[in-house]
Amino acid sequence: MMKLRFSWLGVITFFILMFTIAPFLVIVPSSFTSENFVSFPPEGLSLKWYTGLLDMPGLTSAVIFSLQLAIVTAILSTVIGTLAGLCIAKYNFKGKQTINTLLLSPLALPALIIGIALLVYFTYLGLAGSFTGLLLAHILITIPYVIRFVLTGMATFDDNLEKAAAIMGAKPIRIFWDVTFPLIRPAVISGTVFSFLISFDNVTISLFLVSAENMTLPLLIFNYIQQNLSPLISAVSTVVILISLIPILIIEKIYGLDRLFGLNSNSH
Amino acid sequence: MQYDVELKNIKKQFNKQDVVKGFNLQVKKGEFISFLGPSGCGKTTTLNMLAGFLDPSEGELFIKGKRMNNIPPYKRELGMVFQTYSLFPHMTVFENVAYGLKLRKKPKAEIESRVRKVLELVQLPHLHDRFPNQLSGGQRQRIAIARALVTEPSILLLDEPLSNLDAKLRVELRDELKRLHKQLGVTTIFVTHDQEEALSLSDRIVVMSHGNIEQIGTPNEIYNQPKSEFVHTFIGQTNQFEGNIKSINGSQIQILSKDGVVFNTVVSDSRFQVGESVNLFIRPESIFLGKEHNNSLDTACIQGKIKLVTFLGSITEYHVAIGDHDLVVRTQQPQKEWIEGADVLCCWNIENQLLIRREM
Ligand SMILES: Nc1ncnc2c1ncn2[C@@H]1O[C@H](COP(=O)(O)OP(=O)(O)O)[C@@H](O)[C@H]1O
Ligand SMILES: [Mg+2]
Repeated sequence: MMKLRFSWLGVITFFILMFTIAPFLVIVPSSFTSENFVSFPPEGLSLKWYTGLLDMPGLTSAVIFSLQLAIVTAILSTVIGTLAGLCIAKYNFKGKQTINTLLLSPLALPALIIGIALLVYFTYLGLAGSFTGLLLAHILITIPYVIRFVLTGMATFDDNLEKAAAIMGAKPIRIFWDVTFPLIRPAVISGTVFSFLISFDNVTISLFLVSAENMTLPLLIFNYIQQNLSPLISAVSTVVILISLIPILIIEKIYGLDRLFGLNSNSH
Repeated sequence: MQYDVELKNIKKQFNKQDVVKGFNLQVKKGEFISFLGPSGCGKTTTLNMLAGFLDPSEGELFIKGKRMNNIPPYKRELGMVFQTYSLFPHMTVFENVAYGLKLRKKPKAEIESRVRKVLELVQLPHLHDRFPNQLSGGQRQRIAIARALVTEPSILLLDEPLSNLDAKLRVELRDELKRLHKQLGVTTIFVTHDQEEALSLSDRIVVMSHGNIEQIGTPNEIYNQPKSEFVHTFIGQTNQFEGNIKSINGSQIQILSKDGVVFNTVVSDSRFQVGESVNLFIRPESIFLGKEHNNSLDTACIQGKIKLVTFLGSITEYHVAIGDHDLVVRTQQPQKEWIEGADVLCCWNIENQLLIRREM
């Protein structure tokens, strides 16, 4: 048996972890209450708020819409961001630093500003309130993450690996699929997961771009709680948490999260 | 005659800076050629142009008589080994070595037998299923050599393959390279900044500095008949005399050294004028000690006094005072009468000396 000993580091770690998971510890149990108001600890035990989800107006279509949006965002951001990241990492060209800064700037700008700017711009283009508009906005804010991950992945990449493959007779496309991509795959997948999660729970930017027909799940919840704070929201939140866990769990299963985020360099 | 590799006036500029300044070389089939020079002199750049990773700014490049300018690396049928080993980290040893054969769509059975054979050749037949990060540096480089050889390339390019290894492994793998070259006879171009590696492995050495070829020659020629001050000072040790030309009589030249000693030497051409400042270089091993001038025309001699005798086992080193200047002499046949304080004549064959005008 390990003996527990008092240490300040342990205490601090405990409180930080508590602070991080406290919302879950409140939200998840409170969704099982049998009362008609959010309470903690929950009183009674029932699944009525979960069955109630089915009757919540617009919920099913919002879930489907948000999932579609997050999946398409993740795929397109990954492709564009990976290509951009590779280009920045591998080639020296005029204005490279400017492009790098521009591509990463959505990380630095307040989301609110981006949202307003896009609303003005998309209204002009006729894209406000459309799926395309939301998609472009989400790609814009998720691409910097993909690029960052790819650049980090390329930082330790030995260029001679590609030269070695070329001299053995591999053409550029072949080199990419046989050598470059397998080695940056963890970085690329991290980018995909981040893009999915960021898109799936974005509020600030979607706020300006949704419409009655194209409503994302976070904004549906946001609108709903402005009128009523029933345990229905706890139930919805629990579902959102579960959906967000899915990609992380899948990756843990096939890949190992520690490897994905470079915590364990001994990958073989 | 057709050469395996021919470089004709190859030049390379980066950002308007000349990095390779007119490289001419012809490599015969089966030759082991080294590019030797300090870091940054353009060795890798030249090798990368041969491999096709860089385009020459000027000049022509032939492999087996075929013009290779603008031919991409994957069509050149070469083998290459890098200082950084550069094994594919996500592939096993077998997959690494088999990669080139897989690209050539060889049947599975042939791939297996050729990989097995080449792994035996580098004396690592039992590591098929390991990943590169499970191997030592020496093992990795042997696998990298196997990977380069498995496709039976026409030319093998090696860019400082031993520089990342510790001293003992370096010598071991150097001998291994020599054995492989003897056994396979593959035309090899070997880049190094280590003179010992170049001298011990090469049929011919290309000595480079600042993007120029200083001298091309056998290790013996490079060591014993250096043709430039750079080759004299970069490789081995050398003695240097600064002086002025006192008189010229045909090919006979009389030099007054800076510390007042006069001696005669012979040059094969008449580039010099009386009064010119010159430098004379001569290696410690090229000087022999004696009592009398043998009066042959191709020998130069200078009178001195032995100051210090150092016994170094197989050789003995003498410091001979010439005016205020010390001349270092090394010999494998020391004589009893060569003791500290003795007067000796230091002579050398003029073939081994380098006399050049001193830049002011
Ligand atoms: N891609 C490049 N761009 C600009 N300068 C370069 C590049 N590659 C090499 N150089 C410069 O060219 C010179 C020769 O480099 P290199 O051929 O790598 O030398 P070596 O292999 O002999 O050490 C160096 O001064 C180096 O800084
Ligand atoms: Mg180099």
